[in-house]
Amino acid sequence: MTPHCAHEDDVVVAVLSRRWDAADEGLKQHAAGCEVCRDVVAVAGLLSADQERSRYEVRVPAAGQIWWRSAVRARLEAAHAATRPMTWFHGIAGACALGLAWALVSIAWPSIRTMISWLAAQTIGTDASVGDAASLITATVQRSLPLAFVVAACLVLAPVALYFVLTNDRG
Amino acid sequence: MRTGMRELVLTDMERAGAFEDAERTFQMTEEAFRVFYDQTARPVWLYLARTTGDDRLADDLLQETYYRFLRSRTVFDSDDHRRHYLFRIATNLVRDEWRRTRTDAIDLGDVSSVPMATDDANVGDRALRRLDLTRALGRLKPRERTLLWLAYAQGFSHEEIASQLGLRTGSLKALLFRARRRLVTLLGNPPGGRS
Repeated sequence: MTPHCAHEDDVVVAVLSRRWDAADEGLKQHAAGCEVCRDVVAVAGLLSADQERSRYEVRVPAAGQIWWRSAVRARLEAAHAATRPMTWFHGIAGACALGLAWALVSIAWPSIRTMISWLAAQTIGTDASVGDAASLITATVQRSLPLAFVVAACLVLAPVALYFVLTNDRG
Repeated sequence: MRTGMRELVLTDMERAGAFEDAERTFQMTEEAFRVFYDQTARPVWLYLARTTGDDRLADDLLQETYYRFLRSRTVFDSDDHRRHYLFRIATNLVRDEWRRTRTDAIDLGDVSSVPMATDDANVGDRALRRLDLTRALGRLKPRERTLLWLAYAQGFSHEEIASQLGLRTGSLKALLFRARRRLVTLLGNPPGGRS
């Protein structure tokens, strides 16, 4: 069980108000013989005296400096908060660009395979006439041109979007 | 404002504009803050320095304490309430620092370099006593240092200390008793055997 003394609070008040020397003699005699109050007088006296002496020696920054630094920091944090939605937008845009590019390539893949097969056949050598080959090439290019344009645009935009996302990621 | 590679940097114009925004952003005017700061800065700094054992850290934590105070939206009933809230912020920062460093003992560095005025017995005696107190505080646990300083240097009530440290008021007396006992024992038995 922790020792407790009913006079502890009175002793603390007297010491912290720097009236211990002028305190009631009965209280002082009690403190001299009480384990709890004796420690309170010793510790409270030391710490409060240290606090009182040191506060005149302590050098703290000027109030204006604290205020100025706080104001600048608050402004900086507000600016960071304002740019956070743009960072999210860039990230989402980049992800959409990648997804769109993948989807378009998937849709166009049969046409691409057909073109590759035809080119391979031509490289190896077939019996197809030059006229037939030219017609096939022309038709394939005409069908695939818009698709190829979209795929190329996405493939170009995606790295750019990723660049902005990674650049502005430090909020 | 320009967006750099990975950080935002304010231009001089924006820094100047920060002052105009400050009184709207902060919970008190600059004039009121100056008065409050002059009354509380030294006790807060001393509290931070004694509980962390690091004067430079105390400088940083002092700035952080007042920044968080200015940004808070708490409504205060009285000056005592305001002061209590300020010390609560400081206590939380000190606790965060303990958890971050996970050290109990304070590194006092080269205490032999403390100047001793040999031609003034009173000054030398005071310096020795302060050194003993600093050493003894450094050997206490962080919570013990905080308890003793709040109770006997700042004069906070048990209820105020309990709310700052997240403790039950009923357990304060026992904790203070143990902390006092340890400090008195350490002051009576300094390292090296000097009494």
